[in-house]
Amino acid sequence: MSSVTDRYGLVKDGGYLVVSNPVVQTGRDPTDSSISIRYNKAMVFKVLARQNVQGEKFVCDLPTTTATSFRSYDSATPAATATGCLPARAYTAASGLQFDMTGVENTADMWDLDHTYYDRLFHVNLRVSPGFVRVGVDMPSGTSQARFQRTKKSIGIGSDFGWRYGSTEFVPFPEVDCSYQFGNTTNVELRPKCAFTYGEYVVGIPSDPDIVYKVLIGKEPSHSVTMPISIYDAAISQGLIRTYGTDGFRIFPNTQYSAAIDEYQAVITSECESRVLV
Amino acid sequence: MREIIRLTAPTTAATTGTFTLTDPNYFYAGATSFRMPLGCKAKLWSYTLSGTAFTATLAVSMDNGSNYTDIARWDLQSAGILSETYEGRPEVFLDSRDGDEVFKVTFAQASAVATSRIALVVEISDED
Repeated sequence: MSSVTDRYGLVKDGGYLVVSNPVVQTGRDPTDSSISIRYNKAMVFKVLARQNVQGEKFVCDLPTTTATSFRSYDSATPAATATGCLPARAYTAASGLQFDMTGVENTADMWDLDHTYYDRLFHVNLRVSPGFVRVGVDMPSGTSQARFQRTKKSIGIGSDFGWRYGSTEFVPFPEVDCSYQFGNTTNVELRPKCAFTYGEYVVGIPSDPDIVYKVLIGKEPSHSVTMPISIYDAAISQGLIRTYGTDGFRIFPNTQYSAAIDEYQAVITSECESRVLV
Repeated sequence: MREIIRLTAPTTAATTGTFTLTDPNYFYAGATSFRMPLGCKAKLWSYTLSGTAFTATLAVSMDNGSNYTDIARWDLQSAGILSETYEGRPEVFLDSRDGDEVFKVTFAQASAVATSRIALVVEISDED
């Protein structure tokens, strides 16, 4: 538990949440515009409050039915015998799974919101039991982004390497639809349990560039989550811009305070929607 | 990742056979062997044999079940319960390196009666 997270791994009220984009972009050097440099961006949020205090848990079956499509680790065409099952030697189709729920904004995907929810952000920890089920998040939905040696080789849930067992932490942005991958390499049909610990944060983007700078260089404590991507799909940047007006703040070295402040101020005043600032 | 599974199965009305192991929490149906998740270790926390006399043998395979090697044998010599718990120091009995590792448990008994049961507590873990 860090100073900004509670025992559930969720950001405390007043804390900062950084969602890093691991895809390196290229642009001008702010201190010398004749030079092109590579850099990362990150979204910075201040968590004003968590709506679901004392209600962080949601547990459900795997959202599969006998009609769900699966791919096989062997040559068979696997199918689930019953609702909630993950067949032996099988992993989910490229389109992945989503957790449907009645009465929510998108009944096909309980974590999906549109841009009118700019003041809300989900922070989700998913733990699947048994823990030897492979788990992955595709952002945007249906796009596996697991790669090895840049984009040379596709890896991930269905591959011999590049997967994760049992749990994942993610932040689904409004307007950026996600899907979820599950894999079972054993020879037994499983009935996995999906246990979510989530926060529905009331958030905003800090309007003070100095705060953004301190958070991004680590002077201000924050909790950081990295987007599960290796390719910056246009759907992600478009979704972020539609919701917040910006797709993030460039991460500067801590020796470039002035350049960072100038750029962050420009992002805040000319990119960010005023409604998202706090 | 560490997961404890409780594998249990009855003997069948035969003098020898392979247990159809099931975990009521996580398995939809039983299986006569368990193929290890790639990269994981199987650690035995405890075994319990109960019912009438029978012998159970734990066997492992490195080639997805084509060939097995017996690695443990437990003998319930008379009606009752035989149980052992490896408290705090579970024994690693199978370590997966290519995903073809499998284990199974067989039984042998003098009478062809379905009156006995085995229960194994096994940890599946990708940690040391």
